[in-house]
Amino acid sequence: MSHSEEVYYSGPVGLTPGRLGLWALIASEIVLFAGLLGSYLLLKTVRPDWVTQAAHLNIWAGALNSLILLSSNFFMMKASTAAEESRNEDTKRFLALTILLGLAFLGVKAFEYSAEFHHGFFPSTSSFWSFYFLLTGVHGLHIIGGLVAISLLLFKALSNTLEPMKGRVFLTGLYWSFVELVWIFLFPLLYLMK
Amino acid sequence: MIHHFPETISSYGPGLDYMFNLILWITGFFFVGMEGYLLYLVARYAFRKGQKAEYEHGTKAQIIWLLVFAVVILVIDLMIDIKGAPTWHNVKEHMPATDMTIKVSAKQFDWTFIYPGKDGAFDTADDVSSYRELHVPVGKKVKVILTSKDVLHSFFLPEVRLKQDVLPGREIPQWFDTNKAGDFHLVCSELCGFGHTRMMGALKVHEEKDYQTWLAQLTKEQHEGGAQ
Amino acid sequence: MSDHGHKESFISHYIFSTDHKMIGKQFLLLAIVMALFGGFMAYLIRWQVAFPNTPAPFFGLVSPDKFNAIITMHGTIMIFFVGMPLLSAFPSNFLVPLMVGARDMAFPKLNMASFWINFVGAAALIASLLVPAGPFAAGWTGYAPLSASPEYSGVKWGAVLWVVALSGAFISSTLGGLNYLVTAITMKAPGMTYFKLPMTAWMLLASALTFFLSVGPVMAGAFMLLMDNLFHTGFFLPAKGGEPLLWQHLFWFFGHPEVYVLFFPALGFCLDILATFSRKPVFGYKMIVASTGSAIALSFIVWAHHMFVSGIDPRLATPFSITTILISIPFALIIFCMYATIRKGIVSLEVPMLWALGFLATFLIGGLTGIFLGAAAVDIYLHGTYFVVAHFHYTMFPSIFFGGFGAVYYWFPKIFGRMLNKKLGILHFTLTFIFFNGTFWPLFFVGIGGMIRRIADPSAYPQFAQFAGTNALATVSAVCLIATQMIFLWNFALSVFKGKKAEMNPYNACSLEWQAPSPPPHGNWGENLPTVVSGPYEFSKPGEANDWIPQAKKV
Repeated sequence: MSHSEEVYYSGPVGLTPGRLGLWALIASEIVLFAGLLGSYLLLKTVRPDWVTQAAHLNIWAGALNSLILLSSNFFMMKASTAAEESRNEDTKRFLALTILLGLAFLGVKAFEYSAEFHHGFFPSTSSFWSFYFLLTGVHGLHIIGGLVAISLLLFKALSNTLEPMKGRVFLTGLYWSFVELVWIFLFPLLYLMK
Repeated sequence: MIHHFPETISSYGPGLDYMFNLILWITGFFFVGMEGYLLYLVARYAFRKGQKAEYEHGTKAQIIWLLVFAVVILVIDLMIDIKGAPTWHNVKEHMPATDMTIKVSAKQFDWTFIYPGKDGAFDTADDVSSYRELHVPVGKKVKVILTSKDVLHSFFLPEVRLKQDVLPGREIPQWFDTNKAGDFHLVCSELCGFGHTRMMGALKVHEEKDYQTWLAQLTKEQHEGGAQ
Repeated sequence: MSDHGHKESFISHYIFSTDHKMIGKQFLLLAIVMALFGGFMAYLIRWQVAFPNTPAPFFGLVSPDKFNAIITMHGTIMIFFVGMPLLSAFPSNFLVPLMVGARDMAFPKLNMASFWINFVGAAALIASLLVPAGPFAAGWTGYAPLSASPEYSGVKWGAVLWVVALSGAFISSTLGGLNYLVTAITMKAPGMTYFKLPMTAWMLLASALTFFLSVGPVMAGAFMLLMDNLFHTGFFLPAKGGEPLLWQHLFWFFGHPEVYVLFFPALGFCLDILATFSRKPVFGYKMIVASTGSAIALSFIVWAHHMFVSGIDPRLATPFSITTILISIPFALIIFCMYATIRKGIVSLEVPMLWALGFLATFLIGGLTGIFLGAAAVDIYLHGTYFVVAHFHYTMFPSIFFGGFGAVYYWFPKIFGRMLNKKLGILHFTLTFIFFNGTFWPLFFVGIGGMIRRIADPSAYPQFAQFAGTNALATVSAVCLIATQMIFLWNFALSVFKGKKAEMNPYNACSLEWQAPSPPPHGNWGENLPTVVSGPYEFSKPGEANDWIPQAKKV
């Protein structure tokens, strides 16, 4: 808006355009992951051999990643509060921790992938592996997207220009929580199904 | 330019044709009615000097009438479905006792039909296969087991009124019968690649005697002639 | 023209604009350009079907591999790169802020991104025409395993680019849809309420909502297809533990709601046009809204009616037939309301009205013929025949072209500040109506006769020889139909630059967009936002001096 007057707000109280937009985006993404996970689960019911193949997954790496992502989200929430209260130093610190942990998640995943390749498990090896790489790959793309967004916020915080758009920290945090939520489904459904 | 269904030669064909005609009458009636009413509305209410339009949003009564009309349509539609259910059930959901079984193997871009031979069992030495031509004796109930070697195809016998997609990794049983001897058609009706356009076949329905002659000839060619 | 404090360059005004009106025009232009590709392909298809194995003028021989690619590209282009931009992106972008009384979209930069992402998708699809082994050729429905394996399809990079193109279109429409929804919910002008919005606004929002709630599964399938083509995975290949039907379920779970994504906007445009040119309020406004909501809900549970003979459990036919019947009811109600809007009005046959009436007349045929296909027993015969082709062209063409042209002709004055030539418009409509019916009506009959769709060379089938005359007739009509569109292009190009200058409200319509200048400046409303006091269809109100009352208080 390039006008001096306020934008007239007609939506529900407490729901900003940004929040509404993000919830709508998350709704759409839920259907995407529902399609992916639903396909996996339905096919799983008629593929008993998948259990034996899933046994090759590194449960410890998966569990570690779950902790890493939970921690990352914890720091994102703190960053969000800090931004809301205009505490720029804290915001910077927490955003940086969020990103570091997010990168650690990707690092563990990369380690897992390379170990799996080393053992001869590629996406083309079997339908189980196809799904494993697809599900974790799409999730990974969302992690990368989230990290890009959070990094942009960190740059803003570093150059002290975050204040006018500090609400975006909360919104990005919402998205980050969603990405974590997807992992909370993925981890047991891939790694822990017996 | 008004083309019709080809003749039907199966016992369930007429049921399907009846449903088509029933729907044709019902939709035809609504088609004439709605298009006619639209033309009437335009003609009747086209701009005429001095007239005023009615400032109406729809009274409760009018809305209810429309809902009633919609329910009438719903009932007609449901009736169509109920009437058609037995035909669907007959063709697709129920497998009668059949007189013979033939395996149908589809691949890019032809059909192979495998007959079990005298021992009645498949994958035995006396199986015979027919390339592109499905031969059956008239008046018998035939079970076909459909499978694909590669991509999706679709097994369509227009005169029989049978269509079923053929999948790799699945063996889908279907059944049909015939009441008339003659040469009929088989068409692949699912896009299966660049050769889809030439994946036609034939359905040849024989009198029992002629069928046995054909089968014997084929068996002779494939088991004594050397080529397998 | 611009209300900006700063100067705009050519680039920032025309190319990388964040103004919703410019973005809307960009989508319109994209749709027109892609329609030229799609239309040319339609000509090639019809040429080969009617005059098999003869070289098509301006192209050459349409061999089977080219034929399969062309039918695929034709469908993909018309649905995703003509239908979606023309019926959703262009009107939503241009009209939603104006109709709710906003100055722009909630997220203008995201809006700009959504156009360019769509553009990249379109570019990828056109580029795929040039890659080795050619473009994707497994049908716009892309059934696996054919689509999933270059060994079967003969096509690899074409498939990859097809997925990229669709992804671009999907992401663009999702981001756009979020924008339209948030704008409509949070940026309505003072006094504007949901039930004061015109039907076009409701329907564009319904379309956007349906789209972004249904696109997920096909996106999932597209990832799988991409991996199958690039990394030899086997999501859809039984030999690798995959399931062919999985693609169809994922595709049609989206595919069916998608047809309503295209249909809703057309309904919206026609409702607004019918009201304006009957000088009457839309009949049954709230019932239409309720019907739209129920149709959206139902649209998610009908998809397997595309799959009756696909190998699904035949017992599934019954529940899906029932839901399919149910969904016809809300749409029937909406159509009744459209008739009732005309009734007791004063009908003036301006060009937009012709398109709206033409839409009603032709879509009816599409809707009624759907009943044949929804009856599972009859579908056994009709599935995969030209009857299906005729049916979906009688729903899609009316929606995309009758509805789309209706919108273009109706809002052209607002968008470009000029009027389209009326005589050319009448000619365009008349010829399009005649030749559209001439092309597709005969195809019902060849379908009934048993002619299967997607056959590159019908001359190889003796039993199709009887259809040669009918097919030739349809082709001649198709060529005339395509040629007729040149009248529109000429009228459009000429009028954008040299058309008669349009006043603010040339049709004396009530909805809010007509109270902005033609065309609206950047920021739309000048100094102050409008204050809305009345509904969108206050035509012929008794006791009023004029037969129309604008929505916003006159300043």
